[in-house]
Amino acid sequence: MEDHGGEGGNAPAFVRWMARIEVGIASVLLLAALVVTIVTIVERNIGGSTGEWSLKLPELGLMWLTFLGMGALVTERGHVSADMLLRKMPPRGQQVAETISALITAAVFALILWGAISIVKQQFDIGATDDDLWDIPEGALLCVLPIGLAITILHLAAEVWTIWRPGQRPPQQDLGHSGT
Amino acid sequence: MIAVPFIFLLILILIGMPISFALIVASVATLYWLGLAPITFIPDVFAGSVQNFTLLAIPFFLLAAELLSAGKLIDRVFDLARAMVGRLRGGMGGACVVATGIFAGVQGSSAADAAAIGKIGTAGMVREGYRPGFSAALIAASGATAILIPPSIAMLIYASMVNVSVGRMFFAGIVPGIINVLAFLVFVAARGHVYGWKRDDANTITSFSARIAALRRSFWVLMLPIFVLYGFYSGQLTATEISTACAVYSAAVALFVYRSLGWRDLWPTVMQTSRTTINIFTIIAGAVLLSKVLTFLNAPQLIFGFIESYHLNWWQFLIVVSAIMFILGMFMEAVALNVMTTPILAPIAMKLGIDPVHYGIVLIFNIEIALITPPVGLNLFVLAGATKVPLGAIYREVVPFVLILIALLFMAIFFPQLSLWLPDRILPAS
Repeated sequence: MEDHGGEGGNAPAFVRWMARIEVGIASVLLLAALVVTIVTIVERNIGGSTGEWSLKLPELGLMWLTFLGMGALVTERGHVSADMLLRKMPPRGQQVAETISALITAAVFALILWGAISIVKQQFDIGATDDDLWDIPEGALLCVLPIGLAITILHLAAEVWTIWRPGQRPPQQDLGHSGT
Repeated sequence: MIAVPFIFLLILILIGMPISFALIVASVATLYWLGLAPITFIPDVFAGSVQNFTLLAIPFFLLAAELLSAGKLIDRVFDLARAMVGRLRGGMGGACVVATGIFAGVQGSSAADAAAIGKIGTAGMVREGYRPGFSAALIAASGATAILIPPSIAMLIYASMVNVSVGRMFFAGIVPGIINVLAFLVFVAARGHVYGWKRDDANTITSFSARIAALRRSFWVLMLPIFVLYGFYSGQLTATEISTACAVYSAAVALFVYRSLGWRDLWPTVMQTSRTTINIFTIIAGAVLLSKVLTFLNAPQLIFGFIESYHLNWWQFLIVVSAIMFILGMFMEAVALNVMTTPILAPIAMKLGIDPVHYGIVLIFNIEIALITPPVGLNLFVLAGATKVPLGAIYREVVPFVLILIALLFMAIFFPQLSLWLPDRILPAS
């Protein structure tokens, strides 16, 4: 598959760096999940057992990498989209459509962010912990939801800024990036 | 009411919103407009949708595919395919079909499959006088078989949602997958006769010694599908563990056996896998949310009521489902189509006595068709991007492949044994 990501086009330098760091953290989480699963297989084959944490930790890693990296893909134009109609529009029409799309998404994500903060706060308030993961507070495990949503809103704001910034912008990523 | 989220979705996709975000926005808009659930419901669904041990196999299979692609192991597979079928009329086209089929057995992503063969295969076919649109359409359609031939990401997603054995699903895909590859191969050979396409030179590429050499060159790649199937057959490993082992095996083969990958290439490969994983799982989160919204709108009851009022039997149900999926598949991304429809339609299929594995294979054929059906067909976009062939030319040439897949879909519907025979013998349902 072609590597479309990692550039971030005309986005401000700090946003591009932010995106790289987020994908980097996601990659570390992916490798960690891989290592934990390898340890589980080895441990089981020598007759031992790693316990519930070895199942839960990779699952949690998957959630964290998804939500931490969701925003980075906005800047890297890595999310799958169908832009045939968009490409047929004049440049100003494209800018308007992309701005509307980013603003609607940001508004909806702000709404979900509110809900995510409520859930995390509630988990901390009731003192819920995960028995399988060394009694880590559930709120801490779920805090990636508001963090990821907030980061994505930041990337969407940067996207709007980039759309209206003078200078050439890279073409929209088309449907060639999914691993379906 | 059931049309509300789809109308939102279509508008958002048309203004170029990423599909994952469009799924989320359409769901939230519907939830709010109709006052169906509190806002805390949404992050709760997000958290639940991506925390699944079976789904963890997806990034590891993707990592294996990325490692094999980065290690340029596809070139070896392509040479083997040319050696196997190059002597047919239209041998180059046939080689592309076989190469995508073999590569499908090594990784589970149709887009990765189509992209891997895309440039090399299209260039080869155009050089031999094939129309560029046909060349790209052939590889787009052949690449779609990756979700039918194990390991398959689409099957993993389906199996995780209906609690069917991943191993049974994988074994169920083998016979239809081989038939699919053969159908495309026959079509290319027949067209080769009509258009007088060349054969590969018998003395160089397709001689017996050349075949043996090509087989030896790709031996370690070919061991991977055998390794995956043995993993399921033995019952010792879960899907996630098998995918982990595949990733480690692919890295070892590319780094140490073929030495086509350097240590420095590993980190970019992991980064790219992360990006694809984030992409897929954001779509999964959005599609799960939309499927919950459809459940709130009583979609399963409405569909079941429709079936009862028209007294549909199992095969009529599967045909109606396929017609719905064909229309949805014109506009929807494959992962979203899978995640959104399975929780609603699979329980109804089971109520009608359809084996979940049989339903799964019918679903996979429908997704395969969706991958190459204009205007929104993922593989068509992959090929247009990779080969710079105009999308319009690919749209025209893909029609016969869509028709072939529809014929195969009917075969899968009316002959459940094609899907069930192998898993029933190797991994009987407990």
